[in-house]
Amino acid sequence: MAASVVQSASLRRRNGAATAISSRGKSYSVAEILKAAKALAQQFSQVRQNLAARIGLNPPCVLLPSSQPAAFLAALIAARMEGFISVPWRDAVIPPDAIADAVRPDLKLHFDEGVIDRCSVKMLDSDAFIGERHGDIIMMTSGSTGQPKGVALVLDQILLNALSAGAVMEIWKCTGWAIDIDVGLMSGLNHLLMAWQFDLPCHHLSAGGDDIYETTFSTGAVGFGGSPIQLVRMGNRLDSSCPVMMVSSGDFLMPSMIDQVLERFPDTLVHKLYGLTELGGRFCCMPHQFLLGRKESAGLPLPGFRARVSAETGVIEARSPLLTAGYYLPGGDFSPMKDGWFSTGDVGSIDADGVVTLNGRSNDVFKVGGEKVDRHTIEVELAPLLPAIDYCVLAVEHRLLGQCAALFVVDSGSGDLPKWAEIVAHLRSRLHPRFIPSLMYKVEGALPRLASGKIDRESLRSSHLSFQRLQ
Amino acid sequence: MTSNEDILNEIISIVRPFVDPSLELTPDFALIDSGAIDSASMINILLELEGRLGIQLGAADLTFEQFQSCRTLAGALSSK
Repeated sequence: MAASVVQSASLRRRNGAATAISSRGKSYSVAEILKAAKALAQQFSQVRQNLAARIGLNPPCVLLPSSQPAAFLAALIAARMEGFISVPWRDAVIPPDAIADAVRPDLKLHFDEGVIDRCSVKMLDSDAFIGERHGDIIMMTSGSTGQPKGVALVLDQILLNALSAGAVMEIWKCTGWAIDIDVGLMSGLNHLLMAWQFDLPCHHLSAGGDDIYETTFSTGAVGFGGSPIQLVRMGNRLDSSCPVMMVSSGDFLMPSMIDQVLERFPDTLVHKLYGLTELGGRFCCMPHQFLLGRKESAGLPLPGFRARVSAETGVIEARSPLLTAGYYLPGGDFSPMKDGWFSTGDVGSIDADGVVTLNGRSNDVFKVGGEKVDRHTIEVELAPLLPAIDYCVLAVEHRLLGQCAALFVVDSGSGDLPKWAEIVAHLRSRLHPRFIPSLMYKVEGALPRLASGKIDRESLRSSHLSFQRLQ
Repeated sequence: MTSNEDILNEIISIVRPFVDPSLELTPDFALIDSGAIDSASMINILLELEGRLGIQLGAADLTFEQFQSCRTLAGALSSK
């Protein structure tokens, strides 16, 4: 049997003294991470003895807190070495009970601040999982329902996926990699493992002061990976130094955002990634050299993926050995994935070169006055008008139109919110009249978000009448 | 009985406040294609139509196609 990628990644010759992760003002070398992993593996081995009565033949399932990236990575390697199932757990924001109902973990870990080689292990007293476990890592996703469910994946395959994405983007051109995402999220984990696979020190910027940004990017050819809005904010935050590379993941990177970044940092290489948790991470990549001519596209499928468009629904479908084995659902049931093509839920097209272009989620296309409208198009056109303001467009029910587009825009109170007439005039000059949102609402403070960080669309939809109309 | 011509004139008077005053709002003026009205103004026009014509419109009773001009709108409403 082929050696595990994790084990080969930990056993292959590395520069032990090189920095693997820096976080909260501390740096951890490769040797420290691997040493910690071995120590934790011993701890896991001892714990396993106490679990036999509870789990039967299943491997133990453990919640790995993600708030300390170095400890998280060491624990991830240790869990893989001991045959445990890892559940990355965003301990800073999600209570364990929210995860427990779906994946029924047996244990949870706690690391003291700055300690990565030992943890306290707490046995969980929730009902044990009934049935056969699948995969060796479970990524939590709230999906579109807001109900957390676990996606059963294989860590080696996530590592391979990170490796191929990094190779396509040639991230070895960087001397370091910076992220500002929780590594318990799929995109954060992907960036962390990409840096690990390419021996790049991973700088975790969260919880650092504003000066950490300038300092990090002044140390050499450091790349940055984050959501589209993070890329734009990073550009606004830096005064002098610039990232050599910027990689967007998570939400869709709009062409106007690419222009904003490149206007500020013309020498920065901007790459776009499109991925889904169910596909083990990244699905498509649009490297910089091709992105400039096709800013609206999601990219070419990465090695190991095939893509097609459903003739019936227009939704992009993917096929890959990296596809999840299935979902751990609330209530403790496991729903296996059917063999074959996986529906991404994203409407799009594939051109003769195989380049995938997205036109929005399948449920993002709706009819206003009998004509098709997709909210994504409206959001893209609003980007230049609302560069530093959070907003989203959704279809809402309307007594007279059946459905209509509603714009939700955050009012921070700073006075930079355009007036209703300005928004209408801006969109009218760019789009067919049917795309003008029939309703426009102000949201005080921030858009509601799910634990995954995604906008809570259902909450906005169901309560849209409670918001104040934009004047 | 209200004639189609009466309905047409009433509709023109309902729509007029929602379009640029400098436009000459003839019965066949292209409301949608000219960009004179959009989804936002459409809702307000529908509400005004309900009130002024004493009709109850249901979800998606009127399409963008029927909003092409005051005449097409009158034709659609005369059957309500």
